[in-house]
Amino acid sequence: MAVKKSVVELLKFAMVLEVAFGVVSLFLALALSAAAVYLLTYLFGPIGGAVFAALSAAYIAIGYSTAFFAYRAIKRPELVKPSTAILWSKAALIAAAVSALSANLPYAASSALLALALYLYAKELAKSSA
Amino acid sequence: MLGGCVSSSLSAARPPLVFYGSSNLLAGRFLHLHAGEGLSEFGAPTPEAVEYCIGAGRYAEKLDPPYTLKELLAVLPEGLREKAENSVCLHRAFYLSRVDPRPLRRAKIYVDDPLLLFALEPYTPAYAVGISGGKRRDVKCGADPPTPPQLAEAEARVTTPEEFVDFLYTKDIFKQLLNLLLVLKLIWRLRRVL
Repeated sequence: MAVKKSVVELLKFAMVLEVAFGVVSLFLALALSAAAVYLLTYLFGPIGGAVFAALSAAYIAIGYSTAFFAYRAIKRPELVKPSTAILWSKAALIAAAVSALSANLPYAASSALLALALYLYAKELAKSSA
Repeated sequence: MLGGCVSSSLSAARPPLVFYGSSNLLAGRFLHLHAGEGLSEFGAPTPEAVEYCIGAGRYAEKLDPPYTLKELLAVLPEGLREKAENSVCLHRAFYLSRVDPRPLRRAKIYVDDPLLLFALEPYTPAYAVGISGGKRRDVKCGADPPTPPQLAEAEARVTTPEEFVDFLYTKDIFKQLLNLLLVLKLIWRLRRVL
């Protein structure tokens, strides 16, 4: 399958950005959730804290797993299907929306860029397999 | 007398609707839909279409739309693979599965190509005579001869692979936005109640 080189480059760029801002956001989320977990545990017991900790872990995991998918698309493009590229693009879009809602703009921008890159990648796959 | 038996049973449902079968079961205005020539290896044929062409519908159920012929071949058992690879019907089903349902939003549609019926079925309620199985509603008619239908000829637009990806992508996002709107509306209502 011949995917346009510029799309792969964009995917690479978005992936690197996602990972970099993902680490920054991880620390941010850790700091934030440490405070929130303390408060929630104080008010509602350990379960309240655990729920918030799980939510913030899921938030980082969505963005990060899209980065892993992008890495796979770059390294082994023959394994990537158009339907999964669309799916992960939507996951990145969700991650971007959540980040934007929590005012984490760099991570939101990188997730949105990754969503765009994956979407273009899916289109390229479709074009090459028609 | 309400006219064609299909038309009288269609009036209860919401448009758009697609009907497959003999046109003398219809009465009223219908869009007679054709599709241009074309074969393809990329699209999203429904399991029913794959079942119709090569009898392997349950293997197609495992695949998420859109998929390629190569992906379908990978999930098929050894014996069916060659049959699928050479099947013109299957290539045609891939091509027709990319039919654009958007211009047909408010029409009653009559098709005489079963593959076109399978392609439109995910977007519209479908009525069929003569194809067994599936979720389609079969129509049985009485002896009354209906008035002849008015068929307006129309050519279905088949999207390119890229447009099809666009279509699938935006369709789901708009659905999500609609859900979001519903949730917001619900919250708004709850706020006023509380």
